[in-house]
Amino acid sequence: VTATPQRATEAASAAYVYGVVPAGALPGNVLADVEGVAPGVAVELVEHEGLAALVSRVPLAEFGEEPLAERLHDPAWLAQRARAHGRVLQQALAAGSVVPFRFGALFAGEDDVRALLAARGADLSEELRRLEGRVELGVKGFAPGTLAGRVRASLPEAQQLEQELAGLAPGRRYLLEKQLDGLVARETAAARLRIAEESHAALAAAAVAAVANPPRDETGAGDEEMFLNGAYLVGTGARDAFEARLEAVGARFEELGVRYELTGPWPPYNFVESARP
Amino acid sequence: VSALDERRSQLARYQGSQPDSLADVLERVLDKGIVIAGDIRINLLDIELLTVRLRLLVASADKAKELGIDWWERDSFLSGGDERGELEDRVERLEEALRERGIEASGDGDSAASD
Repeated sequence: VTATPQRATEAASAAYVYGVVPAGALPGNVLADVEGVAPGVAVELVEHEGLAALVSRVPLAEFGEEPLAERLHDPAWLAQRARAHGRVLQQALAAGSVVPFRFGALFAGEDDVRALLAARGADLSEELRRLEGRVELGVKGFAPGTLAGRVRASLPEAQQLEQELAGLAPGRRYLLEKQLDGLVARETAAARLRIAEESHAALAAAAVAAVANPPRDETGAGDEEMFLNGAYLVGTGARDAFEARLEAVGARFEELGVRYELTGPWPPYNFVESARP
Repeated sequence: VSALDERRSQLARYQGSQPDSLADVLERVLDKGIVIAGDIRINLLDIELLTVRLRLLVASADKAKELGIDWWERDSFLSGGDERGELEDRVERLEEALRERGIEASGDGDSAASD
């Protein structure tokens, strides 16, 4: 542990890897204007046997094991660096297929990056072939706060409970109100789930592959709630068809006040095999 | 027109239409993608914990502003800082003008009283 500052002075930088593209796929100027994960650092290609890793030399003062552990308590730092990581891969995607790495792949030097390309070359090449001509699109679905009211109005059981409430004494009334609230909450959640499943199935049918991530606790406009957080791998030639499908899904649930957001194209973060350290 | 150009224009169509939210970027960059264990070990648990915190912050833009990590908003309004500077200058000028007037006004008042 105490040796780290010593090592930091010996080799002042590490090689940060964003992802991998086919060698020769990226014209040099594509990366010329993009800044790496550390302020002012360039992004370069380290090639080995048909593969090219997107690499930045980053200062160990920031990305060494100990400074990094410290910075991983700073949300603003991570947000900035994560965004930079994303920008580099976005730039690469504009020129062809790319296998995105998760944030934080750090090597001692470029030789070690080549060693990685040698060791994982077969897998990575296979992934690149599979992803060629395909991009990830994101679709988020938001349900309005008014959904609960609609569900309540459409449930005969809720209507009946409401009528019963009118003539009741306070104690009994309280219990029945609780029962009604519970019923509406359950049915609203079930309705959101049905809309999510139906939306996802329709979109997945227009994609090569699909992933339904857990909806984030993210507020949309007003009191909207996210019910769908999907990622879809789509061939570049099939994007119009996918968009048309999304429009159809939107039209189907429009009267409920449900809204969808399309994001991307993204590098296929959700469609590469993760793990396997 | 090369295939590359065509692809770029297709991408531009999308990129122009939808600004990517920080939450979308974080979810992908920190949670997805291939995990590569390099020479410098990152404590994945640390990243996970911080990611959770970040998400909570990002879930509420107001909260993020409060904590001063709303820089991504300023990113898209690069003049934001300058604007604030301009506003401050303007307020200063106005205050100065008011002070001058105040002095003048009291002077006028005095002269009015003496009239």
